[in-house]
This record gives sequence, C-alpha cells and structure tokens, in this order.
Amino acid sequence: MTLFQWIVIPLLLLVMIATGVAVTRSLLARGWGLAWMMLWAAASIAVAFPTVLGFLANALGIGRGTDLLLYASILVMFVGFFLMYLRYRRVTEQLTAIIRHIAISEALSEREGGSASLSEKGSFESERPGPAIR
Amino acid sequence: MGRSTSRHGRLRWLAQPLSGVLAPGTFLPLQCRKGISYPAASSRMSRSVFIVIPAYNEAGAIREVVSGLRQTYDRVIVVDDGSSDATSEEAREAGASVVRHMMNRGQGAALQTGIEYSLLRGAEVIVTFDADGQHRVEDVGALLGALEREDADIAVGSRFLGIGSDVPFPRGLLLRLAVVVMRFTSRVRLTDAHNGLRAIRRSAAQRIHLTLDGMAHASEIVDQIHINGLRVVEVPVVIRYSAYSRKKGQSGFAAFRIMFDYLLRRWLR
Repeated sequence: MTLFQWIVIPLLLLVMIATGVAVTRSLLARGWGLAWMMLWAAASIAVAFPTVLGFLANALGIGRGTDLLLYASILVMFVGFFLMYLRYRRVTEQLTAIIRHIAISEALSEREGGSASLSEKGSFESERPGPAIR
Repeated sequence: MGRSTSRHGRLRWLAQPLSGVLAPGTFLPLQCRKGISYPAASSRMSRSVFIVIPAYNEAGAIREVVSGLRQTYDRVIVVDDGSSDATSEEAREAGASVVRHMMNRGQGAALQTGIEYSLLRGAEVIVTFDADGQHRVEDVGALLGALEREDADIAVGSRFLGIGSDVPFPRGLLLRLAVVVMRFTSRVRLTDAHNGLRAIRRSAAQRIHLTLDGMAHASEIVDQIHINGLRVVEVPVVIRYSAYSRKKGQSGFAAFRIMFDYLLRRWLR
C-alpha cells in the first residue's frame, strides 16, 4: 500500500464510525446515515483499488478515473447546494413566522395597555389556514 | 356588472391545465374594465378600512404619507420592517398604528404581517399602500369604490389603464414583460401585476397567505387570486415617480432574482 492509502483509509474508517455513532444517537436520520455510509465506503474502495475507478469510468464512456471523480463530485456538490438552499428557505420562513408573531403580539398588547398575554394571542396563526394546495 | 369579474373554482383549472399556455385565447375569462374611473366609496365603508403600509427605512417619507392618509382614513397601519432609522417614531407621530418587525424580513413578509394584524383588529377591507409616496390617497377611494360597485374580492391598481403615470420607459417595459409572464404562470389577465396599491376584502384577505418574504409577493398575490378564484377588478391609478421613490425602488436587475424566487416557489408548491 502507498503512504496515501495508509493515511486516507483509516481516516475514512474513523468517519464511518462517527457516522454510525451519529445515527445511533439520532443526530442523523437513518436514511441520511446510510447515504453517507455509502459515500464513505465508495471513497474507501476507490482509494484502496484505484483501478476500479478507471474501470468504472471506461464502462461509462469517460476517459479516466480522475475525470469520473471530478464529474461526480461536481454533481454531488450542486445537488448539495440545492438541498441546502431549500433548507435555508424553510428556516427563513420559520424565522419570519416567529418575528411576525412577536410583532403582532406586541402591537396588540400595546393597544390593550399590556393586559393581553402572549399566549392568548398565540392562536392567530392557526386561525388562518394557508391557501389550498392544488 | 357580473361580466366584468368572474369566479372560477379549482376544478375549472384542472380541466384545462394547459390551455392557457397553448392557446392565448383561452385564458380564464377574467376581464378588466379599462379606462373607467371610479368615484370614491361611500363613507359607510371607510370605517373598517385598514391601510397597510410596509416600510423599511422610510423615515424621510412616511410622515407625509401617513398624515395624508389619516385625513380620510382612521386606521393606518405601518409595518416597520426592522428599520434602523426613525420610521416607527415618525409613523406613530403622524397617527399610524405601528407593528414592528424586530428584524428586516422583506416587503412580502411585512405585508402579510399587516394583513394578519388588520384582520385581528376586525378590518373589513385592507388596502396595501407603498411607503415611499408613489401612491395617491384619492386612488384608495377609487379602489374602494370599485370593490363595492363591482362586488369584487380584490381591487388592484394599474398604472397602465388610461390615466397618465409617467412611467420611465425601461421600467414600463419590464412591468409589461412581467405581466406577460404572469399571464402564462397564473392565467390571470392584469395590465399591471406589480402595483403596490390594492384593496382586499376581509374574506379574500383571509385566504391570501404570502410566503415569499421578498419582492416576489406581488406575483404571489396574483397566483393566489387565481387559486382561490377571487374576483378581481383593475382600477386605473397614478404612480408618482419621484426621485425619492426611484432611489428607494427596486432596480431593474432585481427583477430576475424576484422571478427566480417566484418560479422556485411555484415548482416547490
């Protein structure tokens, strides 16, 4: 084995253990844990047997293994960006809901001389169903 | 007057999913009465009219806008969208009720906050009005009059119907383009889909829920008009393009970001 393999393979094994621990402590959903595991496993195989990558690349009609790696990582990266963006949108929507709730509660209690509590006013969101989903 | 507005349910939309795209002649029959100016509404109505003004760093203009409206309308709600200047104070001193976002969340978010707040306070009609002084108070009366007379759910202002707004050419072109896009995406036929001046009845406001915090809410409202089958009437209004409102307004390039926001939302819905 080359030095590179000696360094990277144990590292990947450690990451796999960490992923497993994250799943058992439910820091990570089981499905996502599996996906990450597969990625680490694939990376380990590619490092341990570099010819596999070249073989795969040829089978797909791509010249070299490194090219396959490049294309695959760019693809994964952009999918990742997109998923992150969706998550970001959801979080900002939630943030807006919180800020709206506070703003309306404050404005209403200001009007009523501070007599109304936040929890009494808390139901305004649920009274208004969103538009029908088609 | 039933012909000038129309109500269509969701089934109707399902029945002709592509017709609007394939054949421009078969858009849903939503017509607008062009070139008719509406006299103001009766005073009976204006008691429960709430004017909602989303404002972000508008301390320079908000006082004049609020006091102008307060001469006719009692209930003026300024949603201060996390301004760092004295917008809240200026608005309050001019006689508005202020609802304050502690962080800037965008105009769509501020509008939705203003709408929910007004509904809680028992608004029968909610008018959205821009903070930068580009709208005229008398046009609010025209919107309310049209709402009442046409028995519509929502009245929207249009700067492209008859009376002269001095729309700068590039902006006019952009807005026309937006109208064409909206025709394809929402199948709602409006001449000016991105006008900040609207009057919405309570029943309709309860069904409108803006989720796009930024500027794409204008398109979102048009969508929801369509989804909920609301009867809409367009009313000619004048937009005053002052140096101030141009400076505060959206740049033309923002249109692309806004469209991206909007289209993504549609695909994800």
